[in-house]
Amino acid sequence: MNWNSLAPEDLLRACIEGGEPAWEEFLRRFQPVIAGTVARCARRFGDTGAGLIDDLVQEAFLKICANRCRVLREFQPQAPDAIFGFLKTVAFNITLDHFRGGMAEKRGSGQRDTALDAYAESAIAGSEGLPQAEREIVLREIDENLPPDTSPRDRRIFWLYYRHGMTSRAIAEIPGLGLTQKGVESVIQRMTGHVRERLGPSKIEPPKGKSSSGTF
Amino acid sequence: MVSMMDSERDPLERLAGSPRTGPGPGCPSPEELASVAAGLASAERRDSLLEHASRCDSCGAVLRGLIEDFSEQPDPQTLQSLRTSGPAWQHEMARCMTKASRPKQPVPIRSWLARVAAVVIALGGGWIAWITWFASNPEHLLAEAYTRQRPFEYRVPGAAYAPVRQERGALGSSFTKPRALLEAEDEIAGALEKDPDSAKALELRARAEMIEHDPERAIETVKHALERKPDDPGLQADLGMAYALRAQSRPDRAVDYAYAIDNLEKSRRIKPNSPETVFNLALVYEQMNSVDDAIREWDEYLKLDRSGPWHDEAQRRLTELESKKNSAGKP
Repeated sequence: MNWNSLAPEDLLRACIEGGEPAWEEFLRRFQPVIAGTVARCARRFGDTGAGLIDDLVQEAFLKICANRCRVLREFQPQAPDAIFGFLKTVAFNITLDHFRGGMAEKRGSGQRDTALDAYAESAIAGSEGLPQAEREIVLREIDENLPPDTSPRDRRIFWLYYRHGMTSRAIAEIPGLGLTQKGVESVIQRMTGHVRERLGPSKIEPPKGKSSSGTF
Repeated sequence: MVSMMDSERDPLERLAGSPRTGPGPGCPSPEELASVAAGLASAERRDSLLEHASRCDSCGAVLRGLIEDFSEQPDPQTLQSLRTSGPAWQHEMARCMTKASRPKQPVPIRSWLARVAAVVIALGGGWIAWITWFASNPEHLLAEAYTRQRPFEYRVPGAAYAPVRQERGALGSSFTKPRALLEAEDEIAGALEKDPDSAKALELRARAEMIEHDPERAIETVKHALERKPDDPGLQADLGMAYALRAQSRPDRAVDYAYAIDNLEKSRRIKPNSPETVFNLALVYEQMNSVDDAIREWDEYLKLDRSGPWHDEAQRRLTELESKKNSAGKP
């Protein structure tokens, strides 16, 4: 059998049935997906050591085949490439759990999920932010001045862009959102224009320079 | 590009750089946010999670990190440096995974030497068996699953402390469930296959249902178990917790708090020193805004549990209630 050309769902089925060549192909095909996600997630905690990444990759594969591949048996792909997202999620969970364990040991059983806090902190834009009180006021003012006919989706896009600093490309990459990067940019530009009109040009500038492609 | 001066003047551009508060009790788990980034959430759930994340500082930042981490291509140099990228490791791992994925076959013992070895292993490995049993005991697994994601405020017997992580609808697909929960469900399902009326298995199934935010079903399951063991204090306490959870999830079912108290009190009459029962009772009174009763129960709890994180949480709740009571008494 030509394992290389097997569709992901057929490969999963062959793995669940316990064929060694199927698992060889599974590892060859998906180890980069798992290792890549583990490495990027671990980097957020300042750990880029190959030893740790290898350990977590191994743990991910062991989790996949635990209980006679229960997670694979129960996985019901909704799209042809869903397995990629599924494995990335396995890798992310294992990495986050690893750092949760480490941080709990260091700091005792505190109330907060310090690993998750660290992950969130690492994702925040490096630029200087507004003081908390001023930020709350600005957020409220903007919210009240968004175009009244804005769809819930466009509102989300606007806040993901400004409040969380996501790029238009990153927003367009959210699965199921249904917009290209250009589409996202156009939503943001339209809404920013409206808000600027309502609040005055001196207060709010249009979103130049945060598009990933630099074409905004 | 926006110049530094522009950026300093423009508050909109500076919203994203502000410091973040941690997740709140109603925030989804990171595993759920990951399911959005991975395209695994249903359209309805995805929209609801995106709505939350777009307005929540903590979840928005986590989602941003996830989208970045899931969409970037792996760095070829990093991959090359990994042992797990090599064919030798992958070959060995494939063998392990093949073994693990096949149903276990009974191994025939052919020689007397093998029989002796089997006896020695059986005797010498008794403690390993005990540890294995402990690790696969569904009650311990459920307690572990609860601690991993403490999905509600009420205490599950035997579970270690954890802060509340989420309050509703967070354990959708089997994938977002903690592994311990999946394993526990496997064991419980096996036990119920053998004896569908086993009170113990039904009790554990009800706990799993509560962890999965299904108090409605949990109530039915515990009631079924109580038919077999009507005076079991553990079952009474579980039924009380299930009622409390249903009351919390359905505003039209506030009456369930009364049932919760009734069942928790029944449990306490049979087993007076169960810290979990008293903890949950105090919480139910809190939910009912019955401040004096809640203060009395927290006091009672602190006598049963003298130290540790559960004690600290009880102490904190007691202090808050006392200050609430004092401020309400002021003119």
